[in-house]
Amino acid sequence: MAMSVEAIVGERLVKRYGKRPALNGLSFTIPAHRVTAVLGPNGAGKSTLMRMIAGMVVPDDGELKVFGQSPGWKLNPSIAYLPDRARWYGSHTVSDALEWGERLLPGFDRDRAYDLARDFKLDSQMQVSGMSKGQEARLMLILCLARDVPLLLLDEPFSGIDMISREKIVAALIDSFSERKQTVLISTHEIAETEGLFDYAVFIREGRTALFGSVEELRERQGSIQDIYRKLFEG
Amino acid sequence: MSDGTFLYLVRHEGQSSVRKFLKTKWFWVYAGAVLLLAAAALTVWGGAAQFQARYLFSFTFILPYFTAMLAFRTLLGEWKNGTVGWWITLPYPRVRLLSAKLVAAFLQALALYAACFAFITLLILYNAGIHGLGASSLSDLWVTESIFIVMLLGIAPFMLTLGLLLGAVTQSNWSPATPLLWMVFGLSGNALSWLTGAVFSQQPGTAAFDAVPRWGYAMLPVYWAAAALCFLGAVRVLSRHLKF
Repeated sequence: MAMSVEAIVGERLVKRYGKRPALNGLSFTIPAHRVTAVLGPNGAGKSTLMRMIAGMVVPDDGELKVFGQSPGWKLNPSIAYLPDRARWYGSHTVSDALEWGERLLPGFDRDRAYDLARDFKLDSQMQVSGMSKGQEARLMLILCLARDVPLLLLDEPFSGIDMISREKIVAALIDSFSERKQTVLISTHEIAETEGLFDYAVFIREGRTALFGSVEELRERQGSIQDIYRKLFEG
Repeated sequence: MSDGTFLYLVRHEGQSSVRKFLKTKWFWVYAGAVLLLAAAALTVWGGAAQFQARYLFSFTFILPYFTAMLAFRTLLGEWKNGTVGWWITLPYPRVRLLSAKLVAAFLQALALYAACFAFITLLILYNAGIHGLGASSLSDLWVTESIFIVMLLGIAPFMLTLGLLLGAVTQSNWSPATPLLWMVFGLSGNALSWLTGAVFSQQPGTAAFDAVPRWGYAMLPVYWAAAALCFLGAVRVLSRHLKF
């Protein structure tokens, strides 16, 4: 697949649920081969944007292009997506889950998945229904990180996860980004722990773009990402 | 569908359902209790002149509802279990994802029908055995049983796709149409009640398959056309109208 400099372009995206707009004219560009933070308070429209990129929801208005194509199942072989508040099939063991990935997800690297499971201390016979939330989150992250695909979408990968698990996940992400030339989008509220991961940031407020740009440039002009977040969303 | 993903998806659905089912230990306790009660009732009243073994088939009226609910539950389970994001973003057309659920639900329905008819057959054989009824009394019953199985299988595609459409609509922007679909479910689930009546009022000596009026068979293609519409509707809803 040909890579443009801009991996994802959204123009005046609108998505309404009833009368409530989740996205209200959101426009942005996201560069290829960079790690981008999608930031904003609860209800800002971050997850709706992620779902739109993954083809789960279609915009009511506006245009979204991912690698120059409209999102949908045909584009999804190129996307590894960790959904927000997702769970895994309770009846699966770790090895069932990895088989699911191997059989259904293009670009899934079985050996890498088992290496990650070992690093994350997940035994292959462990049953998902008996796992802690942190263990289940790590398993779901493996299903994304074990894929060699151009775009990685992680929606709230640290939500409800304990500190140790968060640190392990961040370390795995750093390893993964250094090994692969991927475009990565991470939506998170854990800015302090993850700020070092990001090259680029998109701030969303009430379904519109509040600010976006290179993290380096934003830091030079306005301070840390945390400071910018506070300035934009406090009060 | 030559890459094996379809069969894997069907297997995945089936395995999840079987594993869940095997965990429901109380089901077996209730099933055993019902079997014992039915056997006791047949021991007492099964030999009475006014008792006809074909009455036992009246349970079939509930099977179309169960059939629809199997498909409904298979689809809704993705939302209930929090796995819908994984399932719906699989890089395959929605037709394939839904077809896998349809086939998996159909296989579960077949297993349900087989279990129910085996249960009834067991009771009929028990009744014939303890009351000394001859083999000739059983031959008509096998034909009656075949009629119910044929008609159940005939309307199963409609009930299954209706279950899928219901499941999809409840999670979509079309959810206000849900009560309407539940009404369709309630009415169409009665699809076999006329058959039960026709079979029970059958005159002795009439060929068993004649118990089904011709329009009963003629309705099957109508059910299949409605099934195709329900399936296409479910695909459309999943493709464009889901709300998350």
